[in-house]
Amino acid sequence: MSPTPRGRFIAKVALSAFVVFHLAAVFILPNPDSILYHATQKVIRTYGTTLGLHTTWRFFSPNPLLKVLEYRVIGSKSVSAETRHQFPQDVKEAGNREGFNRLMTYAMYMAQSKETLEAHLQPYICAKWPDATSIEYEILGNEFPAIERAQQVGLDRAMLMKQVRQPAGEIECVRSELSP
Amino acid sequence: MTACLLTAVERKARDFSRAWDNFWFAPVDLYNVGLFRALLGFVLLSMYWSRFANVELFYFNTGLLHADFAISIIPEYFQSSWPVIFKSDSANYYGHLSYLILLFLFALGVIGRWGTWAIFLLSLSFMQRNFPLVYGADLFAHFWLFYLSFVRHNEHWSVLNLRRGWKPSSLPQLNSDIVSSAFIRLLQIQLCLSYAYTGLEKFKGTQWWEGSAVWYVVGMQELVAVDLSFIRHFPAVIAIMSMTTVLFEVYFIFGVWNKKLRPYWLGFGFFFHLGTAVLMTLWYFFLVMTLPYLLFVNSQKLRLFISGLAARVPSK
Repeated sequence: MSPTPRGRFIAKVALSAFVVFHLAAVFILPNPDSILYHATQKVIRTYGTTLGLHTTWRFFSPNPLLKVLEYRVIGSKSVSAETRHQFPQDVKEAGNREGFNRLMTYAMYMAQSKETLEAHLQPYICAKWPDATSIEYEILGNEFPAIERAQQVGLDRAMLMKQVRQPAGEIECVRSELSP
Repeated sequence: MTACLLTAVERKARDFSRAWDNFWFAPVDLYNVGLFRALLGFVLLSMYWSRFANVELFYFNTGLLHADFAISIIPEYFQSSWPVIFKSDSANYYGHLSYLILLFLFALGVIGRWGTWAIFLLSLSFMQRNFPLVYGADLFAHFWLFYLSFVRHNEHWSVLNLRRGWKPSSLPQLNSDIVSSAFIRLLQIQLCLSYAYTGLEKFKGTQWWEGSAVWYVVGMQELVAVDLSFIRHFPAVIAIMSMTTVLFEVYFIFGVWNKKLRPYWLGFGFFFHLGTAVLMTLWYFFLVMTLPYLLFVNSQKLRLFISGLAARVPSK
């Protein structure tokens, strides 16, 4: 049964109202520091967070940046405390490239603070090394020289790269809290 | 004088109303959105099949993140008041399996709007269950699923049409209802807005402004497997690549809505994302970003193109 002209008109008005609201939401949500966001957050933030439409669209911005999480296992008999491990280790450990990319994203997120590392990544790492007493973390960044400097030295990428280590702390492996 | 003013205002209001109606609710051929849905469905099926290989690590309580912390780990301004996560391991396992089955049916065009809502809710559930694992392709896929939940996307490019004897090269003209039209428009605008925001965010960084950002991307050996450091001898190329990235994104909305510029903007975008896919193995991101370009292509030209391709397939 086709809608009546009046019914169609009402539907268009309702849809138009939703369109305006939704456009306002997807325009305001990516900028959570803005005045508009703070002014509308009761409605728009709730709408966005409920449907998972809240995102800042930050890809390689403001600057391209990639950090890697490295750790050393302390107190284990099966591995030397000097051996550096990476999380994620490699594509093979993750199973596939997609898995590796996701784990890299996960590691960068967790490395934001010692608290998130301790609460949410530590149990997994400690479970991987059952006899470890603690894990010492470092955040590894690569410093790449400016183009002009790279032109002067004439080395390949591996030689140009300078690793910058930022200690992220040593966290104890508390056995009673770990999953079996 | 007042009567003239009122007439002029009335005329303007009528013109605006007509233009609004034409922009948001004019019927569009569902051919393009059907093809978009079919291709997107298979891409997401492949992408989330890869994720399913690690379902225990990613979503079980014995894996990376226990369900009790799933919501608290999300930054406060992103936290939902009504999360839809699965808490038990078996629910996550079967939930993800269901997600894959629904995506398969979605790709085949068997399920319509209501089924797509179910896929969208499952997508939301897994995003909230382990938020730190979410990356670009997931975000865009989630948005596309949201909009497609309102669109009659399975009128074309559906296996259900095989019983009607419809062939992909000769599908009849089927036009959208007003809801489908509005949400196809919203999807188009969302793509433009996302590009604009991502471009404007880049302008906050000095490396994109000074044109050296691509050089630093080349230096990321974890992402870019091939050593492209020879490019240092062509600094102008680096600068052009960096600036065109930002200009392409910020001005996408203007380029793509201009009929003369549209093919060039879409063509540039296709090869830009293809380049990132080849260099950084971001294949799913490339596909999730460029498949919506189909919604900007003239449907008659797309039909001719597909018919031309189909004509080259040898018949039995």
